[in-house]
Amino acid sequence: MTLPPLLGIADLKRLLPHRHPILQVDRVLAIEEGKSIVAEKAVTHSEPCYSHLPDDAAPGAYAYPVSLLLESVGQAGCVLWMHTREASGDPTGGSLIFGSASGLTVHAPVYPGDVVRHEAHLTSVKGDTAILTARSHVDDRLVLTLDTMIALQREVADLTPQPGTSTGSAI
Amino acid sequence: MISTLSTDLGAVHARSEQRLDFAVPLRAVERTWTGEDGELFASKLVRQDDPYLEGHYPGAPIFPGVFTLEAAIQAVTRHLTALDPTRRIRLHRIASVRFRAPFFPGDELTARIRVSYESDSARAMCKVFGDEGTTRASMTLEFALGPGGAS
Repeated sequence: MTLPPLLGIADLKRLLPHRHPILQVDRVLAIEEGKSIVAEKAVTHSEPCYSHLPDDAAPGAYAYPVSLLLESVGQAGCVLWMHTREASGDPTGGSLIFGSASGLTVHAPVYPGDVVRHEAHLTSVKGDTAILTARSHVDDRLVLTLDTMIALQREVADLTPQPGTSTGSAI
Repeated sequence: MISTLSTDLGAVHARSEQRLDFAVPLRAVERTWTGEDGELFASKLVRQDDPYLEGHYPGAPIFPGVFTLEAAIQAVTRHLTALDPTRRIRLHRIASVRFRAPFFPGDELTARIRVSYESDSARAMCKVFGDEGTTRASMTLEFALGPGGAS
């Protein structure tokens, strides 16, 4: 059964600072505020990551880059976080910062034509820091699991590298 | 038994830079070299017109953290491909990745990578530095190596 989207691109652009072509979430199917989200990303051959591939590239060359999959699942988690903040009347502006991640396992490659369905859970929120966990499927096939991801909300002016400090890197 | 890579890879790296036979969001490695103790180095100058930066973020470009990760992935993939072009190399797991500070257009990132490997897998421990020499990111990556014909 196909569920109607709960949030579309216009909503996502309100909640996230990312824009084409690095907005890596297409729609949200379900949200439980403060707890979990189901979001989808459709992979297409028209994305810039495929533009350089020669005509004789092997079929396996079209596997979607893991870095972009991580970006996508991270954005899905941040949509949950920002939507929860918005519902609580908390500010959603600033940059979303990728602090760290651990235990990301790639179970199967993702190819153009696949729709990746992320299920992300907020395990902890303290102030401007969120801890997330996630798993992703294409149809019934598990493609990615992520044990832990830490995201932070920061002002861009606070991101300039300073010796001895840790500010993360923009998601 | 895990051993640390010590092969002189200058020539094979030069060849591997001709084309990228796998999908990438951008060419995240522009130069590679090996240190005296076998460590692999890779660098890239971050540019305002790098792919995807127009959306990250409009009017205030910041190199996405996952692209710093991508630099390490590409450097190790090219390195392993150069060692044995017949093997299929697949990033299987990101054991950990931590970002301390982002890169901006005009910054040069340099990754220092130590690769150890077994018969069917490789593990890469990476630190990524900015121009000022401080660590801006660190990560541990695990690759699966498919069957191949060479050593």
